[in-house]
Amino acid sequence: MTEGKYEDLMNREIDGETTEREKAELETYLAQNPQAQAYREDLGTLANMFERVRDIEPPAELKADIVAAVRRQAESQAASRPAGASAAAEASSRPVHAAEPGALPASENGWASIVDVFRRRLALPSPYAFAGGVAVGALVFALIAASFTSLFRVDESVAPGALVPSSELAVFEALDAQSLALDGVRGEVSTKIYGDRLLVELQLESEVPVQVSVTPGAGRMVPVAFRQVDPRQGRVEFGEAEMAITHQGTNEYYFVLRGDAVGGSPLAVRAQTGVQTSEITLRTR
Amino acid sequence: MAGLDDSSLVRDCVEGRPQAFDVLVDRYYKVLFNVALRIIGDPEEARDITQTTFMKVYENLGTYDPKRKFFSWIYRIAVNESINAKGRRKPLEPVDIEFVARGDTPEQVFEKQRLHESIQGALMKLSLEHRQVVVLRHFGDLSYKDIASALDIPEKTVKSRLFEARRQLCTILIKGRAAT
Repeated sequence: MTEGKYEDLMNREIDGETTEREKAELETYLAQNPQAQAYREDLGTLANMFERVRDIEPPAELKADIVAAVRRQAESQAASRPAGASAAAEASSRPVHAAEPGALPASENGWASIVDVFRRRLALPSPYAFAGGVAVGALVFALIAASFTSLFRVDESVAPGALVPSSELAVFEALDAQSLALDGVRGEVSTKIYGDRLLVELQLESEVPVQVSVTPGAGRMVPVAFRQVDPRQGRVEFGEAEMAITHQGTNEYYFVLRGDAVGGSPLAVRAQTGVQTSEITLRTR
Repeated sequence: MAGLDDSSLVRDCVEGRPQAFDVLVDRYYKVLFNVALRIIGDPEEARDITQTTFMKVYENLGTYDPKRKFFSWIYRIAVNESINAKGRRKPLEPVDIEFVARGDTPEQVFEKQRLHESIQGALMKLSLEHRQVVVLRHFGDLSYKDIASALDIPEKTVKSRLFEARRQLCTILIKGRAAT
């Protein structure tokens, strides 16, 4: 157990609140107390962990929303002042969201969570922001917890996907990899797993249009993140219990899936051109 | 105007130059969002808290005491809003957080996501009192003195809560991970 005085010093050292004399005193103590040294290292590890996740971006339109809300408040206050007051009020019908409704927040490298697609489509203007937030949160919860009950189309005009590892992601364990057998189409499909998440990677090169469907054999898999490298080519639709890609050209698609089918039933991938069909199944455990 | 200190900007706002408030918003909205998010655990709520905080700050600019640090004052309002929101919250499935990659590889972005989930889960296991001091120190970058001012507690209490919170977090996040 570390003495209180030295625990105090260790914590203050993490916070940059120790003098040189105190640092020297602490080092002398730690040199003779391995347990205390271990705790100091833990404190350093903890501080580093916090540092690594500091850069959570707020929603892109938050600043504009704040400024708009404050302006409306200021105008409202000015309007309620007696006649002759310095600021004249003008009725404001400015929308809460400065961004186009339905537009995803644009992040710096074009990544955005699939969850944001649904969240933005259901965004509600203030002063219903709270009710809207609860409704969106409940919808997101339903989407993650249950299968889809209607088709959703990914809006290709915004940067899709988020948090989807590239094909070189070392943390995922490779499970399976197979090729599609179709004339004029080169299709490589692989599955990888990390905890309760399944990464499905599709690399498609085709001169002709090809329809690809990805379906779990049994149970549910819900996409929690996805990315297509070239947003201009290919269209992805999420239907009930399957994902469908309409593709031509060259592209890569990554899906991160969760659900009771992950680590259980195999994943069926079916690719179809105008004249041929290729079906493969990949392991999910 | 962007180069003015907080007190000067507040004075400008009070004297009828609302553009000065835009500079204050720009200065603090990101860190306020992060603080609210860490205290409340929900991004949509954090967004609402951030917006409400700035509206209340604007409403009460006339009561701001320039002897006090401005960001301690707004953090105080944000923390109160977070506590109020916590009472109103319904338990919801966490929404994925968006990390801006800024040159990170997809692997690094994914790791951050996992780390964020672990950290947020551990923070939510702390009492609100302990969570506030950790969040204000590590995500708000406030000194012990400023945290004391923001929470209206003695500096000694800030340190004891912060050090205890770190002890708990080390157990949850580091020793707990090593044991698995």
